[in-house]
Amino acid sequence: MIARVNGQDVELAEGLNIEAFLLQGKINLSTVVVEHNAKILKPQEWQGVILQPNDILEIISFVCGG
Amino acid sequence: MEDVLLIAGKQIKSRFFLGTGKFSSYALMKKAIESSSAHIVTVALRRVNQGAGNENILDFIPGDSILMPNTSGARNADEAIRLARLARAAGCGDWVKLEIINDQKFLLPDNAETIRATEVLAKEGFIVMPYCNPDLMDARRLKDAGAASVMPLGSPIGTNQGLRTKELLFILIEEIDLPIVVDAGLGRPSQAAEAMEMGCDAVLVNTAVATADDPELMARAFALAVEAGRSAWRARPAQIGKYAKASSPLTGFLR
Repeated sequence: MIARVNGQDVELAEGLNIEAFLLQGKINLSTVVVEHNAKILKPQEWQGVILQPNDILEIISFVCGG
Repeated sequence: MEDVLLIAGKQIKSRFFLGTGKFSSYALMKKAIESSSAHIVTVALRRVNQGAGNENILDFIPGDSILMPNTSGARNADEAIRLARLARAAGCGDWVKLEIINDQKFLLPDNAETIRATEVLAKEGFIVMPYCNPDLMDARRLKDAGAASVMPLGSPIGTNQGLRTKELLFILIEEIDLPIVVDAGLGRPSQAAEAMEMGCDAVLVNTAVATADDPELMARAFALAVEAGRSAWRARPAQIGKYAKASSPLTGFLR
């Protein structure tokens, strides 16, 4: 199935929850915020959300900036 | 008398705010923050690249800093509001530097959209620090919308041109009962001192520090200039005159 992650179409396995998806991408869980279909999720909600086809995921973190 | 900068009821320990963009490394950025003793430090938010290095900028910012995420990248109020909410969800407090830009050549802020976003975010409990054009009426609207300060530009971002908006900044200092923070365009410590001498409450600098040959030393230079300028403002400078006035007595020796 295909979901849109950070503006790009990504092929995902069925039944993957958000936390598992982040870990699979070697993303440091303690440094990111996740928006799922325009709703900001708390970290404790990541495990309970199974990604569905055409979901829109934004994974954001702090970077340098003025 | 103690000279305290209060924003949203919080005592800010330094009138020099530092942006974290454009440093060649996080380690160097950290040294600049430390050498300047900046208390308010800005950061930005971006999409995470999968598999990219996971070095975390927050590990390089002193723990007692006030982290002020900006909404750079936002082209309208809705995008800025979304970014601010994401920043707060990341767990770094309620401060936000509201920055809404849809002009890519001069990077000038959109005051109308900024006022709109300020109203929404202030109601949600954010401490809103809006980057804006120095317009008196818009500054009043920002205050009415709940802004915690007004952050007008001295000149366009990253240009190092200094206080090109000086006469308009004077008007904001006179008329707006909120901290006035000059944000953007300050390229030299002397320009930061000039802003403070004329009565600005603080300055925010990024490019001029980060792109100096020695950012750590330049950060210190800016912090000292801000302190000097503030002291000069508090001391109330004497009038500038056209004709000479002798500093030494003119009588009592050869005449």
